[in-house]
Amino acid sequence: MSAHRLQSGGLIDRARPLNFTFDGKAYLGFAGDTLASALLANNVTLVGRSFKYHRPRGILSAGSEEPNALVELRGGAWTEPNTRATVAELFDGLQATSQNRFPSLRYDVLSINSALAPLFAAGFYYKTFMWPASFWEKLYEPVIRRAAGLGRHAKLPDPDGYEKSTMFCDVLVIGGGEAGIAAARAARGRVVLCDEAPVLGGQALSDGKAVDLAGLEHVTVLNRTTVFGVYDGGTYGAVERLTDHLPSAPGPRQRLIRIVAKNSVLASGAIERPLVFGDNDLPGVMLAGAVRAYINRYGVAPGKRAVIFLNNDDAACTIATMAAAGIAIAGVIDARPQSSPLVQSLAAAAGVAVFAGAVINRARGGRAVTGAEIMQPGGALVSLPCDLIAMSGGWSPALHLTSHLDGKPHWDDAIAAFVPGRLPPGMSVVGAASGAGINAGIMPLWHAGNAKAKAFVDFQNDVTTTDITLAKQEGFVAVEHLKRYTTLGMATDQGKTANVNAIALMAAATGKPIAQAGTTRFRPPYTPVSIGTLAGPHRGAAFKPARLTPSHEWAQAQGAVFIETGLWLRAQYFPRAGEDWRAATIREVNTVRNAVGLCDVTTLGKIDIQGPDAAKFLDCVYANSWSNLPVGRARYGLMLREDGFVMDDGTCARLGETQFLMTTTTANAAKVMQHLEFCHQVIWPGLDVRFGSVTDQWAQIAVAGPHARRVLEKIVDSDCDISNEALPYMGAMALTICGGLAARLFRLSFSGELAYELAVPARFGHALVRQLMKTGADFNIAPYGTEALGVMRIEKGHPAGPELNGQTTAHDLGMGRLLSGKKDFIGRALAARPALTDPARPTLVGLKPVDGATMLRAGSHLLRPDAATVAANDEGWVSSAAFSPTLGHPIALAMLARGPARHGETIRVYDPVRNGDTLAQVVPPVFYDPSGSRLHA
Amino acid sequence: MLEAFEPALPAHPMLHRLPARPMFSIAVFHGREAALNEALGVTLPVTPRQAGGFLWAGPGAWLALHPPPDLSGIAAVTAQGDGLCGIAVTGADARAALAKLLPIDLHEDAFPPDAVAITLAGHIGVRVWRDGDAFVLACFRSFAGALYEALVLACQEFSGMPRS
Repeated sequence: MSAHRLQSGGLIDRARPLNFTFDGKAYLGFAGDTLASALLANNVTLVGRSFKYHRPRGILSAGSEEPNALVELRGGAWTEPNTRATVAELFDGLQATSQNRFPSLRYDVLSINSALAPLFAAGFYYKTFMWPASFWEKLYEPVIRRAAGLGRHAKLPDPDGYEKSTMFCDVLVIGGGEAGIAAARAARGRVVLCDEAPVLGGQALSDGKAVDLAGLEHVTVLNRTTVFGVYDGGTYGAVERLTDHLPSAPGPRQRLIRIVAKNSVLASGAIERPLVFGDNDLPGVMLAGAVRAYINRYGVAPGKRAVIFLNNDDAACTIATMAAAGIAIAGVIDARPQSSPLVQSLAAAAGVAVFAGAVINRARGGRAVTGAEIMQPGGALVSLPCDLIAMSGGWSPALHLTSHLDGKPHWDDAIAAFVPGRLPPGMSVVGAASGAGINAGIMPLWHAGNAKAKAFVDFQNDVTTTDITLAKQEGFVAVEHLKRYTTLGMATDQGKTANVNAIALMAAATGKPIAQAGTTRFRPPYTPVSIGTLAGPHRGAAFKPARLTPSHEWAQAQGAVFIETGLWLRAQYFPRAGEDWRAATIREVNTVRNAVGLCDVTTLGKIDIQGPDAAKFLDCVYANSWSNLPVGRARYGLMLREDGFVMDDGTCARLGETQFLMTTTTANAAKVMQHLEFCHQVIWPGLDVRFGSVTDQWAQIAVAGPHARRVLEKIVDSDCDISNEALPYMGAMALTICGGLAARLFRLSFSGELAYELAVPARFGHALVRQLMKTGADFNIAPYGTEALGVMRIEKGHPAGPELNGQTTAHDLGMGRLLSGKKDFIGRALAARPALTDPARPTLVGLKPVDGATMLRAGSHLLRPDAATVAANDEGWVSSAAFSPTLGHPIALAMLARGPARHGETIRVYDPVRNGDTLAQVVPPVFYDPSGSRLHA
Repeated sequence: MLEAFEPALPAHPMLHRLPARPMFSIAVFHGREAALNEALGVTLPVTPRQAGGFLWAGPGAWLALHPPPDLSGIAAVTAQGDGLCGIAVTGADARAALAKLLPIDLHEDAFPPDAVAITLAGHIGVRVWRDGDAFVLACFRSFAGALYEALVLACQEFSGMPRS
């Protein structure tokens, strides 16, 4: 049993010892310990170095409000920086390391910062490192970045898994102390009770009281669960720590729970306030309630000889608790002029002296407290040796959750504390969190004594009373300004033990009442939440779901390489032995142009549109006309945004008098569907038309090339005529294939060859591809992917995604004639703005390198060859580029100012990012078969 | 005739892919609600419920779990039997597993046997309904593999099976 461990008492299990290390040294603790209690049991009081001044720091509290005892837990990829030792449950083999010190905790070279303190006062960031300006990027910033912060993260991928879930209930009780347990017991319906600790009991357990846990059978109790935020609609965010307290375990590490509750009860208790006096940050200076917690919960006496410093009666019970634990009490320093009857009687019973009307002027010691300098009424100083100072400035209700939806706490003078103001809908507050039963007999004391030593207000950010005075001098008196100027209340503890003292000190400095100052706005999360928990299972390959085409498994078996298009996986190319992407693409293009190829085009959005007003609806959403499209024909459609820019394009086929099948680009399928819904529900609800997505209903396979019809004739049933006369270019028909299977055949071409798209119900897509490959073997059929598809459409000058980037108009793309002059449509009015039809706008052209060999790159900019390479001379940009196997040289599509009038001109293609600089000739964008003769074969 | 193909999904005690069946979207034209009810011989639900094999799918829209009669002039009918894939989730832990994916209340009171929901399972759009003790999640066919994988992970706590 170590020196500070009590022989009996506490909720630990002395029959289960646990080994752990701190800064490489081995220690022993017990099951039920936290890392902090186990360290104190082993008389380890120095646990960290403060943020700016690198002052020695110890354990201040026993809860999640801890500002000082931040350690690095575990190692390797599991490293957790900034872990509060006060809530880290001890497990066998736990490894912890102190932070923010070099080379060691005991001898930290940066403690020199303390000597340079005047340079590091609040706001020094804004006044230093300004000159010379050039030093900022190369010297100051990297150095500051290395020196700043407390913990270091692992820099390796997180090996743990996380989970998310949703929970519904009638009552959510937040906090499992006495008040919360009572509220849960009394609640009806589905009741959930959450507490951040491993066991219920709260402050009562810390005060050594027995807690009644009966009557909770109807309650779902979630221990180790922090409700970290209140959101709209009765929704609460919570994190359940499933295996943080174990060395390792299978399954998810933590679970993010979205709790939807009709009502909630906030029973989060209160957080004790430190007192502000000289060197109050020394290891061994602790909150009185924490000292009781270490004695009662963990059987640890944090010191051997103590001084108690208080301004209220709540802390009085510390006297008896310490005495029972065998701690000698050198004195009770009661700031109140007459102390109080309670304190006087408890002190007398323990045989302890009371110093009424006195304060601690400063704590004494180097790396730990060795004594307290008391200032008596009158000013006389007396020193009391001690190794523990238990201080209590009163309690602050933990009301953070009440103001997540912007309710502002208000100051209650009677108890010198902020209490909840306007509450989130459905929430009520009970117990200490409401201000009930706390701060009996309190006399506010915001700054004790007048020692020259630093008196800390915010331990974690090293903010002292001097900093608050400085902020006031510089005019940063509003609490939100005070916070930003001094950094008080920031970082991992969000000022839980600092905010009230700071607000009170600023109020005193400005001569205003605290009630007027108010608090800073509290935001979720209440305590830090791992990013991994927020991601849950959505990481890596599971970040977004993959959408697979009907021929996916077949393509995989062929060795296809896939590319992501939105959520879809599409075959990009089908390499044969020895082929890289370029060789495969060239072969696939040549196959389509000279023989026949097949490509799965299921991913393009397909929307079935039916109703008496179907054609009228299309007239409204497309720039061109539809009412005159015959049944059995398809037409290219251009869809504009309301502001006149091109949104999407596709083909739309008329399957019947009142039925159309619209296609969209793959990327915009969902967006167009939403757009149609908006148009129908909001703009034209009077149109009698219904539509729905059939993208997944139909597998759609493109068959393209001079032999395309001959291949299809072999699988189309004999009573179906797909000759050039029966099914001309842009025709659409329903038919049957392979012995009676209902299918649809569209004669559409993206490649520029004789081409068709054959649609079958999706479950037959896989078999259809295999059948086409078998039937087309005689014609040397081969599959082609998106890469070859892209090359061919560039050869044909078809605008696609890179040209339809949301910044181009119909006129820019050479499609101005498609805008109907006979009817209104979305985008008509704004597309007619003079600026949008100005020929000086970048307009679609083709480019080929003058030397016939240099690859052009998409993203390059276009300038006159003799112009300086500055933005003012920018005349356009390259949108799509490829090597054309058909022409035997690189080609590109580009947007060039006054493009169509400049065919034949030489232009400079300039790519400073990738060191590209070459000359190209401006040509018409259709490089291949401009008359379209192959389409009509 | 061509053969139907469904990619293989690993067997699981709590999950199975439902065999493909004819399903149809029905969307009523203006003012034809009464005619539609008469033609189908059922009062179609106007809240998120199902009745007679018709699942509410939005204002004036339903998903039919069997082929409807001729509804020309009354409603738009679109085949969806290939477009949708159904996965059944069964067992005593079905609700607890689904709580990890679905943001809706599946308690018996909130989601009775004829309830229907259109929501997200993780990031995948699904329709949810009950079929006896089972919960059915139907998604677009292209998402079937991803949905099954997400369900396997959600069931891991209860089935003890390794991730697919």
